[in-house]
Amino acid sequence: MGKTVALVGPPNVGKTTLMSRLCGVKVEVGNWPGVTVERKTCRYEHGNTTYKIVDLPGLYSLTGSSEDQRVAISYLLGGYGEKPDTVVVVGDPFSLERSVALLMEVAELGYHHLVFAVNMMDEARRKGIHVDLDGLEEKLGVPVVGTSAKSGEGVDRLKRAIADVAEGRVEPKPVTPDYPEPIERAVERLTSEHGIPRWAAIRALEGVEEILERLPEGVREEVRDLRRKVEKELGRPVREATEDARRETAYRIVSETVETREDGFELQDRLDKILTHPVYGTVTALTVLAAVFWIAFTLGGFLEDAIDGLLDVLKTLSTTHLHEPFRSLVNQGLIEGVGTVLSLYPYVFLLLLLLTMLEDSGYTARVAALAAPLMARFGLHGKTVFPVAISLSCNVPAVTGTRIIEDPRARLLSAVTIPFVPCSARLAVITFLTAKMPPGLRVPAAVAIYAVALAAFLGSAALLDGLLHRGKRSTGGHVIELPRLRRPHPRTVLTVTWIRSKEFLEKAGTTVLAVSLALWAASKYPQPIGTGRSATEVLGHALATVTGPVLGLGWKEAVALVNGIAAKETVVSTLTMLNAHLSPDKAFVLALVTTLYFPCVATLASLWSETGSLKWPAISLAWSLAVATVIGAAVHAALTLT
Amino acid sequence: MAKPLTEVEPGTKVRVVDIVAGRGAMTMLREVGIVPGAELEVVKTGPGPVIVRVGGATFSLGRGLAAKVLVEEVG
Repeated sequence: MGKTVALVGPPNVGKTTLMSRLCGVKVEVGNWPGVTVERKTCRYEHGNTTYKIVDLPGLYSLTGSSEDQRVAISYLLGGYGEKPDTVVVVGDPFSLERSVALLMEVAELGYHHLVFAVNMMDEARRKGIHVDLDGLEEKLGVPVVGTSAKSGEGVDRLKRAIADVAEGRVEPKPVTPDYPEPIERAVERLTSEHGIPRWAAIRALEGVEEILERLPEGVREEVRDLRRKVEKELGRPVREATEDARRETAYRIVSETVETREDGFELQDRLDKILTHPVYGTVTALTVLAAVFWIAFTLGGFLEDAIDGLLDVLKTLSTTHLHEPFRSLVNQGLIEGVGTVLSLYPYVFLLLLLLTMLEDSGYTARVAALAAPLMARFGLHGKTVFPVAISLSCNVPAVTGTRIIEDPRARLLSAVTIPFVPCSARLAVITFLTAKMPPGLRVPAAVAIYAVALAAFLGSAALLDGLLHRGKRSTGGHVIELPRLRRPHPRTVLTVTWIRSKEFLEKAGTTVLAVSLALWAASKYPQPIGTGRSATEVLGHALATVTGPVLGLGWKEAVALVNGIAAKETVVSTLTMLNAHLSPDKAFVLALVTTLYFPCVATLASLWSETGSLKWPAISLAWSLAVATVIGAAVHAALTLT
Repeated sequence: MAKPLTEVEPGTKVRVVDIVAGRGAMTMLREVGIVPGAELEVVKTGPGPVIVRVGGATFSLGRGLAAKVLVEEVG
């Protein structure tokens, strides 16, 4: 028999690491049906039972109406066709109140099968914080386990506690907060007269849609009347009053069980003053970013050379041992096509590794806070920095990642314009093409392309913002949590980097492979390439009548651009397979155009599901094509003149 | 005397007296526990974003938003 366990907790309490501790690295990442909120699941065995862990989005509370919160509530109420047998609420000892309040909220969705995990216990001990776990267990009325996802401490105990609760050997009685008198009276009436459970009555009075729609029509009306009456008596919304009651109860419990929550913040505070300072912070951020790219490119270069050497050996082997058509199939389709793309994986991996380290250390949040006023000028939210950082690896999760932005306008803007940020596939193309330039120009050229892409991103956002909401600027108000600065945790960083970068490898084995094989066939039939009658040449020459005069790009580059629609990496494989010799000028224009001209097919699909209409992917497509053509043509003209 | 969060000395502990903001801003602040009555530790008031600590968690607030949070110092 399998059991389902949901993991609930605020952001930055180490839920993801705890999950990988429970299950190992086999974490599956998908989306919640119908919405683009990331859904992580994994499984582990304990006793004779399989436990399926479902990680709910990081939340401060369940009362809001953000997409994350709706998904979490709906899931806990069985809206996705399954209900967890046990809910584990995760907290960290530094701000345990939030998780305690969250525990009470989950209990009020009808769950008493709860376990409370106090994570980061090792860090707390180092900072001199003592958590009275037994006292906490007694006051919360649910099993409490101290864990450290970092060291693995307490993970076995957590598994046992989950099993005890899931199999009914332990029956938790979660604490309930004391609500103001008028609310208690209304709750009492609903429970006694209509047989509604206490938790449902409270949530219904708060106006939680998911609960209200489950009530019979007549009762729903009565709840609305009661709510109006109670709010008149209280002089404020029920939701605020219940939230405050939960918060106060949580504060009381935590102050009685957590000792010397003193500081250890001096160093962090001093650093934060520098890191979020408009001048020093900006200098730091630019230096860090430059260092990240420098390291990724230098180390990546060594690794790429090593892989290229290996590919050369394979090619020699196939040339001596295989006959046509297999020889060209292997040499061109596999080694030149897929192999060249794979040899660029080290850059992608290293870039992601470093960016993930920055995120895990808490630094990205500082950059987000610092960049907020700048972002606001372009109609974007400070939190856009997070999806932009993800975007450097892949646009698809970045479009999804814009969900962390609460303001719907700023969120739409980010989702539509973020595909301009060069993803790792484009990093591969830029690396490959700038290598065709004189050594001294390679880095400046790559930097210039990134700068143009960033300008296209911000400029498009500002333009779209102006069109969408004439004059009504977003105020740039933001609340961003600054997680504690810490040394990045190797296990977390490697797991996350792997999950994010394996996409690149998977695409090499699927999209790039398919396009490479198609190109191989199109270059061999109906007549082999060189006769001018191969399908590739026919298509390429037709396109070159346009790309030639406008961008100075010949038929081989035109074919590469067409293939790049499926996935940008295939620009690299196509050029290698067609044995294209590019002049430095051509290489630069092609790299620039490839970076700008088209969000890949997967990104467009993501944009479609994110915005719920075909309008935005269509606009994004037409706009990026226009931007790429204009900028590409201008640069080509400028290079031709000089 | 209640004054905006932006005008407090860093390092002081304050209590939120009132928040003069629209619904959206209010929700953002409530979400992280910045509500009337809550105690905050002021880490930084400028230049750049304002940083406060609520419980053990640290938050960065935009200056405009922080100016709408009225606070008084507590002993």
